[in-house]
Amino acid sequence: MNPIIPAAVARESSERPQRTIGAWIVATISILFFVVPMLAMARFALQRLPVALLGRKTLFTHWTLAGVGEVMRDPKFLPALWLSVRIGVLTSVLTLALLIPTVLWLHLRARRWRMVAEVISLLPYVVPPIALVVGVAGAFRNVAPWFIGSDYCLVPLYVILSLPFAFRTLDVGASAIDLRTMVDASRSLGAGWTTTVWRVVVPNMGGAIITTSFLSFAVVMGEFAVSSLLLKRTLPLYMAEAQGSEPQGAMALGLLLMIFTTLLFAILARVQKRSLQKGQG
Amino acid sequence: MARLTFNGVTKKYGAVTALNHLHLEVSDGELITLLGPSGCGKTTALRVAAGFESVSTGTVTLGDTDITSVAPQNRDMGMVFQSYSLFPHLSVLDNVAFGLQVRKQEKTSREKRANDMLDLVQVGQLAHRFPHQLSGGQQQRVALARALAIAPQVLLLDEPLSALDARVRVEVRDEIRNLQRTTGTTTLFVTHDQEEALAISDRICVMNEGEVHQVGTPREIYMEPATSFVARFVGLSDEVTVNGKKYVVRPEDVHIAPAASLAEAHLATITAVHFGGATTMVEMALQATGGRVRSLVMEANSSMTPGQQVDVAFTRLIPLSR
Repeated sequence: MNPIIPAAVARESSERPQRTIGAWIVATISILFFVVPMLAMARFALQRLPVALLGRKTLFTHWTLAGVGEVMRDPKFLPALWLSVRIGVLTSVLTLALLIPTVLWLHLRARRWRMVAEVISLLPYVVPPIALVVGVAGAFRNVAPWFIGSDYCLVPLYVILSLPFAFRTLDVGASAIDLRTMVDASRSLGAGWTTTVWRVVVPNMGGAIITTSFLSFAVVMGEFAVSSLLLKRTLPLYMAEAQGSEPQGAMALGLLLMIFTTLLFAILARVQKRSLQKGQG
Repeated sequence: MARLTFNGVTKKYGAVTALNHLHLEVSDGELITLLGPSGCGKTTALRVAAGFESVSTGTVTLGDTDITSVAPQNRDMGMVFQSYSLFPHLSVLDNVAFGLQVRKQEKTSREKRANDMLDLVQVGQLAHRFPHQLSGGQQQRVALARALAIAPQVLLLDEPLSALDARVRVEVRDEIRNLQRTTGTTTLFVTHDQEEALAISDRICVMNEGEVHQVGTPREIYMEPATSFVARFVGLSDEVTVNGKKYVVRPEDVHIAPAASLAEAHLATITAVHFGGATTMVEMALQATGGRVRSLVMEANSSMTPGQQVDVAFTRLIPLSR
């Protein structure tokens, strides 16, 4: 070994190819783990062939989006999609409206309560949706039956369900910037709280805020138990029903939904990367 | 008139008293430095002035108006922070114009004002850059321009130079002083760096453990320290006992001569010689008491070596009152 090369550098360069190979193996296994079932799902959903004929020879034939079209023509599909989108948007908005001030308050005024807030935000993981629904339905059926009757009763429940993701994302976003100095600077320049939050905090937590809203939206688009128990006809509920009558169409729809959310996350990652680059240079 | 006054301000955090009955008046157009070690309450005092901290007792007045319970955004004070505080999502120009935009000033006039302020702090050419594209010194200059753009009644500076390297620190420090003089803005400057305080201030308020030890001009603080804490904290000093009384002596007031050549001298042994270019610092142990004294010698004298016995005479002794 060349004695001029420091030991650490020499070790690193000899370890590097091994590490690269290891990384590739892990990546390949992970990709296969996700892609194989999706491919199987895509073949089942989008190839008009009996399942028994889905072999190697038919890999590139009989692909069609007809199944999706059939599902979409179902008069029950659009109302279900529209309901899910509305609930999703409202959930995102309400989550942000509740959590942004909370996270700011925790970071600026009550740092020692952050641990408590974190534990509370994890509760939805522990409390099963059925318990949530039974509790909420039981409480409101007598006091405010109109609430349980309305489709929008899902919104607060979904806010609770997205709490673990949403709180953590915003908390990390707030920790990543020097929030206190920025808020102090803005206020010393004459900006009130509303202006400060809107013009200084939100733009600098942009990545975290977008991620939070997408995550909340994704929770709504995939949630089944709560809407089923409360008998609300959301998209996941419709898809579960459609699986009985139009299994291939329902599967295709599921696949599209998955591609749609993946794209959403890809966009989100780009936005975040851009905002990070802007922040750090 | 922008006269800022602390009237017996006390600030407690639970059992800890961060500020104890602070009485201080910053006159119109004056630059007062709050100087002290970390935890002495200087930053708390500044944040109380800015409105970021409430007071436990006492009041803060601006001119004749009691502003103790006025929100920070309504106090009309500009502030520069220790950490870089520029808004990362805004260009330099928009950062400086932020306070004016909040005040609903029209776009062309606020941009003109922002450009003028950037020219004043000599970073006019950086107007369209983003904060992350600036060096630390440039960022603090822009922060200064931003604080001054709103023509505040009081400028609050919270250790704005501490994150900068030595050379830039002196540059920005001198610039702050020039700007403060030309704009005539009443200024409260917080630092733990005594050299900075001596160089920049009209008056210095030396603090320790929430208490004010002395308020005076840099010369008074250095030449006539009121307490042993001030004597020790500002400038170099050694404590000596002469005729049973305790005094403080500055290195420049310690005269060295060959042993037994001076009347009323103290015999000492040189323990170390630190060559510092233009000056040399000679450390000695007094033979009578064993106490350390240092002498600042202008010409490097190669004959002074550790172990050598010399006579020292004190040309000026500062009596210690408390």
